[in-house]
Amino acid sequence: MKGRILGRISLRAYSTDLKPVVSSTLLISRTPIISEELTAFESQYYKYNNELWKRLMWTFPKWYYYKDGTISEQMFKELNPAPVFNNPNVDFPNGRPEIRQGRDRRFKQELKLPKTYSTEVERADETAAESSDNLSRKIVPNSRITKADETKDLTSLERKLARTLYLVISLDGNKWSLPNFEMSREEKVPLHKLAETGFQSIGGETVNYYNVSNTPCHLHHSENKKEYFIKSHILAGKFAPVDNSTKFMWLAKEELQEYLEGAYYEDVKHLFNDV
Amino acid sequence: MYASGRSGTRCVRLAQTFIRGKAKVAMAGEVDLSNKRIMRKIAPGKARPAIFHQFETLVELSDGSVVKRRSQAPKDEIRMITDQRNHPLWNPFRSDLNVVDPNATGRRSRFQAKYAEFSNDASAPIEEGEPVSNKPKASEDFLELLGQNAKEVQKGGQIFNRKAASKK
Repeated sequence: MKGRILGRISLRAYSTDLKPVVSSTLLISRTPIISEELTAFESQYYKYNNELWKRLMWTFPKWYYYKDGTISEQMFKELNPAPVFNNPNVDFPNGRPEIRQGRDRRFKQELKLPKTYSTEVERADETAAESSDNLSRKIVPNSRITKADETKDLTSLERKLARTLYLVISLDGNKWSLPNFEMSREEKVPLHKLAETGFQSIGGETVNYYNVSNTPCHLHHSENKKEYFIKSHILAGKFAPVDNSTKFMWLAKEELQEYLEGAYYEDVKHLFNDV
Repeated sequence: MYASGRSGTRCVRLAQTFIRGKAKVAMAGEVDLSNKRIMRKIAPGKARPAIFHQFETLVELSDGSVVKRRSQAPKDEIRMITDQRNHPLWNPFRSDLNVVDPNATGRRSRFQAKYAEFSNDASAPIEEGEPVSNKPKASEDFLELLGQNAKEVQKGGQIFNRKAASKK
């Protein structure tokens, strides 16, 4: 016991001989913009539950949303004609219809709704600019794959919308690393300030960011170096390097593995988000 | 006589039930639960969760992004004009939003816009010599507007004032 303590003390005495270089690394991330990509099983599960939900749903209260005798009720009626009623004089080999409130209760209720845009062909010759101004145009969900994904533009913030991206920079164009800033021996500043001012000095002047904490989230040891990690999120703006020789990329976790040094990546990989 | 006789029979009945209960209960202080089960029939169509009919709605936000959600209203497409993407409340750092007043949508703001010049603002400087209590009442104000010779007409019945009545 005594010997162990002595040994520890002697170790400490050795390490205080050479003061380690303290540096601060900014782990700036772009959080996902769209929902996560689902696996095949997950999408099947959601589909099943959605269908079950639709089957269990009550009958649509038409009388509540459409007043009798109005045009909107007429339009709704035209789109959703009444089902075949349970005629006692007719034989139904596939089961008798069970009509309640104008709906066959044996099946889920599927309704068509009147559209705000006209679906006829006359609209087809409308120019793209006109149709984008039209407030009653059809709503089409945007593609999950952006232009930056197609052109493989790694510097764009609009790539891999479903993933968390992290900023990596390279000063010489060969060695890539997370933006790291060394503390000067003379002037001591807080670690988060060091990371923030350093980031602004290399080109993050116009970036609106959110600093998660002033406390570092990780410490990376290497020979005579102590690297602290400060987490932050980019909210708005763009990273534009001041020096033209500085290269930068916004990468997801598995891409970082390719660009960062092997042992270094192994030490910090738990900081990166899998999603 | 009649009343006393009635109460006598009630006493007997109570005693009987007490004895019967005592015979059933094995231990003192034990709770005697009814062995009658409450039977409730589950009617066909009632054994399902209360899920209102919902439509899958595509909502286009003001910046062009589209969100899918469920809604009870019979609309499968909704286009938002003002939402969290272009409202200054959610975008405090954006300078390109030239919305005059984000709350100028209701009846109150319309009223204020119409009668802005009549409003006596709290921010307006109060003259020093004039005490606040000397302000004319609302009814006097109206009379002033009508002119010098106008006289107030009693319309409708006077409301009964208990304090005033008791002083008389």
